Amino acid sequence: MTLLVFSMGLLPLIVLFQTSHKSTAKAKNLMVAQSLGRTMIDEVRSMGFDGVRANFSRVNHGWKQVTGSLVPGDASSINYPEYYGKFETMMVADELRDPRTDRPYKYLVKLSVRWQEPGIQQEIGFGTVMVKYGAR
Amino acid sequence: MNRKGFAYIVAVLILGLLAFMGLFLMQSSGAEYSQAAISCYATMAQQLAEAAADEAFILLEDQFRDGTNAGKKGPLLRQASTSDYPPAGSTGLNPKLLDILPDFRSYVTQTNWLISNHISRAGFEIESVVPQITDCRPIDHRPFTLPQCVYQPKDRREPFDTKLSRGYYLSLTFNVTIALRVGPQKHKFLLSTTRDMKVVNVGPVGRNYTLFSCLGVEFSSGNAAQSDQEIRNDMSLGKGRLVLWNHPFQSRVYIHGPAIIGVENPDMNTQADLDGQYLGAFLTSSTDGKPGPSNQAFQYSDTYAGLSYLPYPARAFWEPPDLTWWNNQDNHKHDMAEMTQAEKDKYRADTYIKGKLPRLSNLAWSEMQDWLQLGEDYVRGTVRRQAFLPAGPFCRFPWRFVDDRPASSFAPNQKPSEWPTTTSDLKLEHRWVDGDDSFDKATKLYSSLREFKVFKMGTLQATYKEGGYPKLLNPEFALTYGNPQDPTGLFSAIWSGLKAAAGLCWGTISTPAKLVFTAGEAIFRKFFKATDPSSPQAINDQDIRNFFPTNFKDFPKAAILKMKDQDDIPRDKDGIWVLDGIYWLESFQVRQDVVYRGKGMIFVGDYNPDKPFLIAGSICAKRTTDGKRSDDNLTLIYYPFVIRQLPSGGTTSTPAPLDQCQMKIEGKGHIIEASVFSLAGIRTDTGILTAEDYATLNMDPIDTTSTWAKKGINFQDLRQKINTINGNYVNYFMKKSKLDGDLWVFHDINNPFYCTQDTQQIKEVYNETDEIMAHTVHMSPRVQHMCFSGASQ
Repeated sequence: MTLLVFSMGLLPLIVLFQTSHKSTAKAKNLMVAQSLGRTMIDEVRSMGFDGVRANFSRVNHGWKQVTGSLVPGDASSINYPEYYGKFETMMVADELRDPRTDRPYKYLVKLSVRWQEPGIQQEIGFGTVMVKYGAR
Repeated sequence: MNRKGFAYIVAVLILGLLAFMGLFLMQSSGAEYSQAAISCYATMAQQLAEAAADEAFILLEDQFRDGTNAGKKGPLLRQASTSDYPPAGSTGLNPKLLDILPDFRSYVTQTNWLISNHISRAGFEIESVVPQITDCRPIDHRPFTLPQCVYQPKDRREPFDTKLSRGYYLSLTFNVTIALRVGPQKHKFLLSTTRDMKVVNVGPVGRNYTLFSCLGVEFSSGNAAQSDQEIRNDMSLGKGRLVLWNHPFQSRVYIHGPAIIGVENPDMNTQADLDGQYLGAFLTSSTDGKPGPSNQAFQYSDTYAGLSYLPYPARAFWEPPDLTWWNNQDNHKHDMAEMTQAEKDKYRADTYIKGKLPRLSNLAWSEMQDWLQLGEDYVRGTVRRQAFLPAGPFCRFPWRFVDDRPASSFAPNQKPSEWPTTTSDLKLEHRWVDGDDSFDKATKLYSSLREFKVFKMGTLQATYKEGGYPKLLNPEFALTYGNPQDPTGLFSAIWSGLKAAAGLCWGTISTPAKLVFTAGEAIFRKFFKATDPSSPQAINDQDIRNFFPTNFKDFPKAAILKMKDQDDIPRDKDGIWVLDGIYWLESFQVRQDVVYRGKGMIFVGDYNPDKPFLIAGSICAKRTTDGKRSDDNLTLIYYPFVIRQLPSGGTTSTPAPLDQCQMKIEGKGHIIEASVFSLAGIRTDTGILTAEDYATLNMDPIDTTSTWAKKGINFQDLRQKINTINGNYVNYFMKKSKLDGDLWVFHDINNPFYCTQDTQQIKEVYNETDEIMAHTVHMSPRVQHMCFSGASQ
């Protein structure tokens, strides 16, 4: 009888623990997404306007799983942790032209990060604007 | 065993404990998620703020670059001009610029788009994007830009440049506030980011001058004998001529003396002169007693006769009036009515047509008799071919006359109301310092002449060889323009004038000239050390008063982009150079024609003997659609140093060898539409205009200038035969001896940087519109400072 009562009392607690676990996992996923968002946008910003222009095809990419080397081209680079494999990213850079000169002067860079959580796909957006300094 | 329900109590306790743990975990994980979310939102907010700041910086730069009434370049320049050098000077701040600049939050369109369409997870909002000037100072080009060091001619009481002419650097800060609404709460994230901005004057150097030579010939070598040779010979050496095409009586010409300019003697027999015969006094190839067309130093036509580069009307022998009744008893050509207004203003009389050069002919002694009645003395030039023609071909383009009257007789900035007639001397501008006449005396430009004395006994005539004849004279170099109205009357005054001038000749000023050597060395040494922070005492050196041309500066300080060579210069899709500010190149070699647009300077500061500054093609401004000159402008600066790496890792820099570091123009037919500065002059290797060329170019010396204009000078062909600078030419040292091909310098009256287009007047001073045109504005791509706050709220 005691066991029955204990078990019945334990059931909502299990739900409580499960909810907490899910919440922790969500927070972890969000942090990973934020990390990806910060890192990738920072990388693009560090290229500058001309760098984006020169690496336009590399900057633009469709949904891509986050996997492999953290620094592409560096053989000694560590790999993304396996956990990151459940994340995908997509980056789109729109070239904007100066209406007066019809020359490119801005890039609108949009980064989307998505991942699957139980029963739902999460997606979050990051972005920046790269502008052309100097002679135009 | 009866435990009286103890198990229930334990179970409930355990359940309670578990519930507590679960609730704690629940709360903890929830807080963790909230913190993760806030952290994530902070990242997003920072990215949005950085994007907004970048967009705003560009918008602000665009506004500051806009020189129209709608733009902010004018207000910026006006405000910047109220700043001054630290520590005492003002920063000239209107700190927030709120009176002229908007809050940019509505104008950062792409960032707003990101918030509305991409970063849709939270309630972001841009609250404000506000600019602020946090520092504003003139770029410290001292001493080059100090008012007392920038050259100001005697006829001006105020400098050409104002504070608007200076360059400035600014620190611009954008404060961006991003609001984030989460439920009922509103978080604010603040980004403050600062960038540098330069406002740079890229106009011509020494714009009022067709030629501005800061130190003239190289008299500062430290070797007195060598310096003496340079002073005497440099301006007469080189196979090519340096020809200045001034806007008559408006363009200025400045050369720091002392220097001697050899004056042309078209009939000089070099070998005979070497033999001491000096037959040049008599020999002439012309049959009519006038100089031949190959003598480009003569102001020659049927109306103007004789050599113009003399400080008095002795450039020809003026026959007495023709008293024959059918000739109306005078020798004037009644041509006032045919003259253009400009010519009337210049000459103000019918021209006297009977000037002649003496000539030897067994059949023509009666002509000799005519002029021997008037005098026995006679002067000729000393060089077969004058290598420097500061008044253009045939002296048709005289420079701006700067009267030598005492300063007290001038109202401020008064222009001469009349063309000079009271004195026939158009002297070249040279160094002077107000209140210290030693500079004026020691830096004059001199002619080189020989005075002959001739005698006639029956049919025998000869030159005196005794008594020091023919005497070498070095009166001050000047131009006599147009024919004198009363040549016979003036003739009697020739010799008193000459002898007075001879009293100021080179030989008698050797002592002050030596002083100039010393001063020159000091100037030279300190000039090159002026940017060396270890010798700040050089900055206030008094010897460089009234010395530098306008807009001369410490070019590396004002540079906008550093590049390897000309291939790095930005181009548009048509391959046209896009000039914008000061480009600092390691080397510059142009081997084909190029076209530029925009405004800028190209500066080379390194001396590399393997890669000299080389121009082997034309450099021209892009024309507007209707073919006219726009306000595009280029200034070329070659200021070479030898830079050496030290074992310690530092570098030293010394001036390049002055005999080798000329700007080189290779070949001919190259047009350089630019203001050109070269430390040690220009080297050319070919392209010399012949006497025959002038006729085919519709520049027959027999015709007046207005006839040239009516016929239409064939400039296209002219420029194919020589090399031309269309702008102005500034150097530190002339090094004329390096010109082995003709170099013509046209003071560019089609360029608004030099000349007012509608009135065709050379701009003496720049008004505010001109200054706005001459300045470019540049935001640095580098972040000077950034801070972000709000994430820890």
